[in-house]
Amino acid sequence: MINRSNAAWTRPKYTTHRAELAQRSREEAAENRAEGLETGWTVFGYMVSGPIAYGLIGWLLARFTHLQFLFPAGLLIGVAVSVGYVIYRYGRPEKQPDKQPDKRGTQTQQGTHTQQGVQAERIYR
Amino acid sequence: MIGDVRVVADAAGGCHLFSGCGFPAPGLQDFNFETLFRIGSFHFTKPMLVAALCALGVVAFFGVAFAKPKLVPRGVQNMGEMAILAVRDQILRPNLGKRGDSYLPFLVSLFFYIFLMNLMELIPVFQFPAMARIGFVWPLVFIVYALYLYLGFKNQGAWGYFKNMVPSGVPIPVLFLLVPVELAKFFIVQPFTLGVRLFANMFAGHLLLTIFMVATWYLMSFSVGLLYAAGSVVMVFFVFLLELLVDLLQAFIFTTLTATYIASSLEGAH
Repeated sequence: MINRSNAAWTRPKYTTHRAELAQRSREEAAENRAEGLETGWTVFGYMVSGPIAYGLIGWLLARFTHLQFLFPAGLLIGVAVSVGYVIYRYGRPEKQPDKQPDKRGTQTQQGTHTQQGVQAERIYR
Repeated sequence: MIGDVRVVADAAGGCHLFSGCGFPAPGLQDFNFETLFRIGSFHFTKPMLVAALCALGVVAFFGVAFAKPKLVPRGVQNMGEMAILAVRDQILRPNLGKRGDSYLPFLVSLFFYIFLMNLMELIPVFQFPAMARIGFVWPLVFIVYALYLYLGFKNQGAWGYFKNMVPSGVPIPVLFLLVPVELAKFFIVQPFTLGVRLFANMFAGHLLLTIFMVATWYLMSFSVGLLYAAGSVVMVFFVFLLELLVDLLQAFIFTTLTATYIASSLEGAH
């Protein structure tokens, strides 16, 4: 029987501040990588599914109605829907989490900074 | 013997450049293996052996690593912990966060099983990635999809599940346009690409390695061919390193996508 009581993920972690920062940046990098991978394959999935779905519908309609042009028409509609949807969902810049200027903060070109944030940045520089 | 070993052996039987016989081009025949033994009508082949040994290997490795865990890990336990933490920090946590830790055993076994199966194309004697036979990929896809659907229905309910499939806040006519696309993506394209991506990469990798190895043997003769053979050997090493990367990457992609599917089932996509 496997005893997990002493395994690494059950032990408390003692780290320094710098190690914690490094760990956080590694975690962010991993998150970005996972997100990029998922977005990429989702976009690819949509680009392929549009023509497949509407191509299938068009092909079935063409079979029943004997109007042969419905199959290529379905494919083209599928491509149009896919491209449109991908642009709608992924083609725009990401939404800022907070568009309203904070009452306590100042509006800068990069976005909204709270007073404390600006203060902290000054100290850091 | 079996498979690609036989192709090289055939080439060794005097089939070199300028000896009158053509290049014994590797092809689909290198993916079909003779029966090792049979039980009734069940034929046991080399890919099955590779798959079984890989499964045993993963179980044995983690079994040995955590049979008697120490507070300060040493030896195999160290490696085992590194392996598990790598999967947790690179694949599980970025997608699922801490609440996904209960899926860690599944993702760890999935990752290392695929990785080991892929690595078998580079290990002498085995030198065949079982994932290059698509029959070994579909069961994994089926397991992942069954879990994906089960978790989705369990967490969101049947109606909520299908409702979450299409984006919210879209006008009704556009919604009707999107439903077929979403259904095709979910039930056809996504499982298909999940399986075929892994299979095709392994298939192409094995074919590339075989081509350059057979070419090296074929070109080796006391002529200008020797020069080409040297070039082919360089390519063998290059492709070997490339495949090492591809093996790891494909295991990583398969597991990461599994984690994203689980995440979307737990919280409802869009």
